[in-house]
Amino acid sequence: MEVIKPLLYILVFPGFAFQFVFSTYLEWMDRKFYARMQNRRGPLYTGYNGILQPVADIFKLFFKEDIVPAGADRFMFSLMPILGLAAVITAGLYIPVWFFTPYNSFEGDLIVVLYLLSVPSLVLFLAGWFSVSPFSLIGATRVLTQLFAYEVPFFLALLTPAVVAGSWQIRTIATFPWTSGAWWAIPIQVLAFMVALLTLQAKLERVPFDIPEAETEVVGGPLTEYSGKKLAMFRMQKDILMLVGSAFIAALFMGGFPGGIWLGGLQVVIKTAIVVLLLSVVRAAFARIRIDQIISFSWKYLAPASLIQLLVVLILKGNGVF
Amino acid sequence: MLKAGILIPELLGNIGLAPATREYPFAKTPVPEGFRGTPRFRSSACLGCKACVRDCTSEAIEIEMKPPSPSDPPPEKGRNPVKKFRMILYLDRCIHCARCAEVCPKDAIYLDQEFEIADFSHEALRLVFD
Repeated sequence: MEVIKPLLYILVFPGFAFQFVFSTYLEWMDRKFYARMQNRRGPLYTGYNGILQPVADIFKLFFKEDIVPAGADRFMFSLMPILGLAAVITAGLYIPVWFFTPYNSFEGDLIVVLYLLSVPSLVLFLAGWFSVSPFSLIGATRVLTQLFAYEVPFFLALLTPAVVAGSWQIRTIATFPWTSGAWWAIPIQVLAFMVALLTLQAKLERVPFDIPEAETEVVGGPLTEYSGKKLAMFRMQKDILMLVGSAFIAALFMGGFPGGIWLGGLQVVIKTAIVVLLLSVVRAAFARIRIDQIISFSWKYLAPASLIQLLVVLILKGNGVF
Repeated sequence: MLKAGILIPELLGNIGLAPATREYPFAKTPVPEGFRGTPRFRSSACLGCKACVRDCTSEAIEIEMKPPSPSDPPPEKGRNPVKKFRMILYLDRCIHCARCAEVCPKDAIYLDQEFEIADFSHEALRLVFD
């Protein structure tokens, strides 16, 4: 029993199986919503209304030919997708589903999660670096350049609820508005919520921040040389990163998931879905910007906005409002 | 000045509208009037003048003599003899220009509305009209 419980925790819930199913569902929803905003239909024929299309896409990639470029470092090239997938799944283990204290939760797990969520970007950079293709190299350098733009505002934005709750533990932060009765702490943090949303979009490298993967310029960016199983793992990594990022934003800024097994479970689905739908509106409404524009945008607007938010929260906190 | 998010009202409005696309292979779209689909041949009207063979730009039509078969009834006096030629249409060469239909003096060739005629073999695209 001592062995089985952590194993179930890692492999089934809220580990790999749960994250795979939920993330493919979220990808389907994102694609469907995105298509409807563009007057298209989106996935239709695999499963009910195409709900199994993301699963089918990933399975198809798993059975495709897997090519390692001739000049590439074989070991590092193959390691990168596994490393990235492992990092996001580990981060997902800390989602405070149903207000249960996560199995491995501790004071300060927010910092661990933030760093685990940075790993995919570094993995993408290294994946491009070890592919020895010009497109991959350009994509890889763009990944890092972009990382320096969005990472600081992302950290600052997620710091705000931690300061409000006075804790570094995700579960404590999520339950804070209900345990302390200060539910109006949620609307106050709307600025940090918006910054977190935009920087998560940049972390996911989706439009308008898909500069590293700009297919019209650098083919597939860092993933140009990847195929087959490895590309499938990168796709799963991106899906699960979207799930984990959205779930954490929902947990930190939208009051967590209270209300027992059924109501709490429903809130996980609904609140995470709301974040994903907002991300999808951002994706549909904007076109790709240049790399210098994202740097200036995030240092001129996003970072100051999150600092102002932090200042507001600190002033309120200093006056004993929370 | 960058008008950020100017598209958002339109995008959200689109959600309530019906999709602009059709579920093509499952829901067929009616083709327009005068659509030039697959050439069809009415052998009863054909004179065998070979105007279509001459005018076909892609040489997709052949009219050749049929080898006599023992099942053919013997020709009788005062009645129309049995047709001794047949038409072969190579759909893989046809460019659907409808020259054959225009040039035919007896309207023995017409183009129907069928357009999903792609196939993997040349043999399947070779239509023989007796």
